[in-house]
Amino acid sequence: MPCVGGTVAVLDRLALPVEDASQALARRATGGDDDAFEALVRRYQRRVHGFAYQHLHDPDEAQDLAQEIFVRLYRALARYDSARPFDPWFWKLATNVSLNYLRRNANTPAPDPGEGWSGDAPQPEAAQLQDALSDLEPRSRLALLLHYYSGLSLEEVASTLGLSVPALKSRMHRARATLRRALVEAAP
Amino acid sequence: MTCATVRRRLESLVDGRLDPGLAEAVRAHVAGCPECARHQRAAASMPARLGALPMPPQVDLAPLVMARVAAGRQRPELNAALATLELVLGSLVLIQISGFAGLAGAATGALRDAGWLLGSSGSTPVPVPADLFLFLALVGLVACSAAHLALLSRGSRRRLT
Repeated sequence: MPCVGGTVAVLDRLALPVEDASQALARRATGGDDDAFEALVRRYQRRVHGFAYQHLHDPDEAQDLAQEIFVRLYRALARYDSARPFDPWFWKLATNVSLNYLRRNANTPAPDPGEGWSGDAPQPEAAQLQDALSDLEPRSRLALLLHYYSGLSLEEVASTLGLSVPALKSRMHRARATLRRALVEAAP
Repeated sequence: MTCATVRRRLESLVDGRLDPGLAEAVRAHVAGCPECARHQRAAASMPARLGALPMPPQVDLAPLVMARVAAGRQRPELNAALATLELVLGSLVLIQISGFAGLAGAATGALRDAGWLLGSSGSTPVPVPADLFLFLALVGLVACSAAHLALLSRGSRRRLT
């Protein structure tokens, strides 16, 4: 059972009406309803911003990436089949945009976790985990973030990353072991 | 069972994917090995820790996104109509200047002029610069209009699908 980040994520995972609402908003937005698109942005912005931040570790870059994900969503909405669930389709798009963003900015060094953060600095344990996450290969990092942080099911993450569920489990297993070893070694 | 073997199986133990007998053996080792116990605690807490990673400070992205969307948005129907007009006018001017038969002659001339420009033939007469410019400008206009129309019609199809 995955742990999810935030109440909205829990609702999105467990309550069917939330998923239906996203589909309905996406359907309206596809028809040119800008208010529906704005509502869709507000519904997902916190999770997308958090996902982008955990992927990039830079608050400014994360905000830029989050905006880019939504702009790309707007352009891609015409391809969305509103008979299908919105979340897997959306997170696939968000993942592709994130991977491309990282590729484009591959030479930009990532700042330390918490640097440029205008709120409270992350707790040392969270900062250690963020450090270890940033050392993972990007697709493994995205797999962990999509499942544990954004609350997608294994099937949804597998579909998003173009993997079979067993291959995804194996990848996540290795990634978690890498994180675990890094954290144990970093702990006093 | 060695420490390395136990640690390789910790994530499976946490996920409940080990055979009961093997799980029991791993637990027995962990109970007597402080270092493996540290690894086991880290493995067990990992899903929750990943789920509880801090959120960045909340920012309302909606106005920023909507501004970017509005800036990038065009009016595809109007633009498509304008591009069509460009294409038709450009073609009419081209035909008016030289006629259909003249177009073929102009194309031949243009190729000859291009050959002259590339310096491939010293015997080719020098073209009148204004004519050459006019012809190339019109060809450019038609080509730009066609590309413009293709791009816009693709964008228009996306929005209307």
